[in-house]
Amino acid sequence: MTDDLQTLCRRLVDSDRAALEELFRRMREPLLRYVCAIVAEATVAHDLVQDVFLDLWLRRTTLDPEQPLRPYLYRMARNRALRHLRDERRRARLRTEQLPKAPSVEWRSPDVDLESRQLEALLARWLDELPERQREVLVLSRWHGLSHREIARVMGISPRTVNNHMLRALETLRRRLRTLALMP
Amino acid sequence: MNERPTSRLPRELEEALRERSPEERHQIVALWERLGALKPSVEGVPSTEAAWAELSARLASTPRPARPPRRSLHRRWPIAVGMLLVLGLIGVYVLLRPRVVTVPPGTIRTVTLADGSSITLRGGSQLAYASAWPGRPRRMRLMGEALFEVVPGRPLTVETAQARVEVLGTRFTVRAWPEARETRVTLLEGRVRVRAIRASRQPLVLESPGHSVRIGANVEPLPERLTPDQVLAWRRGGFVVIDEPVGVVLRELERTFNLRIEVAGPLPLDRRITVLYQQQARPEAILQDLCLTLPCHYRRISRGFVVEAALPSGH
Repeated sequence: MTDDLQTLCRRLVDSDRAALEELFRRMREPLLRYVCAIVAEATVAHDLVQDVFLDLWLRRTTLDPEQPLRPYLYRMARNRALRHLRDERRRARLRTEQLPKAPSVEWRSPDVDLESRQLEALLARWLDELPERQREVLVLSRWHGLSHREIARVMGISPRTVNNHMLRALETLRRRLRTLALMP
Repeated sequence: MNERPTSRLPRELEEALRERSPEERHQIVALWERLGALKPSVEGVPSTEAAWAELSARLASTPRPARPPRRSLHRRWPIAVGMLLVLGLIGVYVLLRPRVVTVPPGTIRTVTLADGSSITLRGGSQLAYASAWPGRPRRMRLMGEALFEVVPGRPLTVETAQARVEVLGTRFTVRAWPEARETRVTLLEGRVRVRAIRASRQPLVLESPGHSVRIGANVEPLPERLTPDQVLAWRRGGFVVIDEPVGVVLRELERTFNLRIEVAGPLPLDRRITVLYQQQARPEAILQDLCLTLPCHYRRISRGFVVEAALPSGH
């Protein structure tokens, strides 16, 4: 699979439009999910991902087929998403005071038997409440199947730090679940 | 499509968890599985098919050609170097260009420097400065009146028409209005050194709060003592002028309240007076006081007042 992407990369460097299409069909959806997890707005995520592919095509001749393409794509997407967030925050600051935060999770006593859907919702909330980098590492690993080394490339940190972030994130979630006695 | 087919933990995680208790490991694995089920879907966006159509259309209309292959780069490097040089020079200019802050009458403005030092400028003032090279002392030129709150670190020099103030992390005010032809420096905290520009006199060092000195053309600098309430009255809507000519007071009224004041008839503009309103000063009350001392009359005109000498026959 990774080899395939590298082959596609080589074809891209040679300005092969079909390679772009193949890459798009394969990577658009995961990138969309990833960007959406950062910017939290589907239409914005769509626009940003379109821009990623457009930009990739425009700079195709500068690609290095020796460098793994997948983390490169994620990184392009991440940069755009973070830049968008930054601009957005700046705009928001200029417009008004910060909007009130979303209501926090209501506490339930441990003996309430939660439906599994409620549990999922709870877990999703807690995931959102994790420190940004920890959450990102977890998302890239669990939902995007990126290896530690790939995540390290995407986020510009060391694989060791990736592992530390991930451990910390899982530990937090585990402890919160256990507090609610939701763990076996 | 790209996610792990199984819910196996990544190898590095497993290794790190090896020394945990079996129970903890089990909980983490269960959590890992649960997280997999959580994967959100993105809704409300075009399908991949539609998105590709959209992208193809954009590609077709993008005028920018692909970047040339690297082969030709060696022929282009002089251009690249030239452009970098130009960009660098622009950058240096942008960083070091002189900046001028002019404060409109009737307002107060604060300038904050990169190191956190701040300068609060009174209406009608002008401050010019260039961000000097790192490590070099910073120089500013002030026409008007300001409170300087300088963070310890790099030295700062403030120049006026009459004086040069050298500081290193302190609070002080400088009052240097052009019509007054003198500069008053008052220390609030720390220590400053004041030199007269047009005299090779020894520099004066102010080192206790409230120490104040005036430097002018014909005045021998005399140490005085002022309270922060007096020198900073303008920050709280007050109006304080200590022993200065009537002409300066009238100009100060104009600047502070954004008024027009016209002088009719022979008014003793050089006579020195003191006005002390430490807060909530109203221009009309100040004019009343002024006219009691001089004496004079004033009357309202659009956006201001006319001040005229009182006729001697009136008394």
